[in-house]
Amino acid sequence: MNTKSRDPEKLTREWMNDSGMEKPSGNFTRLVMEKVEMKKHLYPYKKDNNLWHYILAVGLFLLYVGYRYFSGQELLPAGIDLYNEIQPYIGMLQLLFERVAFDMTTPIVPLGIGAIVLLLAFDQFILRSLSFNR
Amino acid sequence: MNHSDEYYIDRVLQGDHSAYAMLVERHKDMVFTLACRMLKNREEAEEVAQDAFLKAYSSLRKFRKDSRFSTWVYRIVYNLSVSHLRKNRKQMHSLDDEAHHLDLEDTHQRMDNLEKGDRKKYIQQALFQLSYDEQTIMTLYYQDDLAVDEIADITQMSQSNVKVKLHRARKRLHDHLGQILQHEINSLL
Repeated sequence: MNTKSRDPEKLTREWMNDSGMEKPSGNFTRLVMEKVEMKKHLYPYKKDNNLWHYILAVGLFLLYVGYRYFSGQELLPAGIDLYNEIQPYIGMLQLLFERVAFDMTTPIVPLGIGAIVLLLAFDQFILRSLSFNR
Repeated sequence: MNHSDEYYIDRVLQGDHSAYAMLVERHKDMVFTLACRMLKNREEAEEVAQDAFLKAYSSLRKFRKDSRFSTWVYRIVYNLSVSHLRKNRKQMHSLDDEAHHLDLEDTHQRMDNLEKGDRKKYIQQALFQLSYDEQTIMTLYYQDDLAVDEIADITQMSQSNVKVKLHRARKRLHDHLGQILQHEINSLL
């Protein structure tokens, strides 16, 4: 090392570089990634390019419609009455909403909702603020 | 292939979690070095460094790309180390605030005459005696070539404070080195 110039700035830089870097254990990255694996639900998996799936779905639908149209058939297969097919499901939904509307008039549901809101607020404003360092 | 940090961040945000391993691999040494120098304990430093990467991962969506990923992770590890020190009530200042001012020329000359391995050992000993923020500033400035404004951003100090601490830390490093070398010479005689 040439220290003829005795420039403290330059010498310090050389010494600091001589001090080297600390190396973590060999499995450091693996350990971090194991913890990341447990948290990865934060970023739901998305495929890079799923455009082809949409194109394929639309293409198949058009093919089906085209086939039935050009072969002189009805668009829906014979024997299918759309109104009668979906009627039971609409009835179920109606029943469900009526039941929920009825339950809302009893005190247990608003109390339950209030408890959930309270827990969420506790988590958001108290627990998270305690877990932050600054 | 050597992609930028931004490339891997985008990959992670698109759902490719394994891309995060590249970011960890790239920055783990500096993050661990900072934690080590602040905490002065390898096991605790490893734990804090892992937590820093995990916290960075959890907050990756909030990362603003107007700063570097490395700077951002350094700030996280700095904050985690400070809170770890506070929690464990460890000494947060230098071991010896009253370092004697030895002849710099002597210190430089003695350092020149040392083998590289010995030099590294003595520099690490001298660094060990600096306070955690002095070590952080010295490491970031001299080993990672960060600018004063970036260090101020990481440590949440003013730029002028960083400059003062940098100047003081450099002086104290030289003084401590002088003391260590003098002690070694005395023990040999």
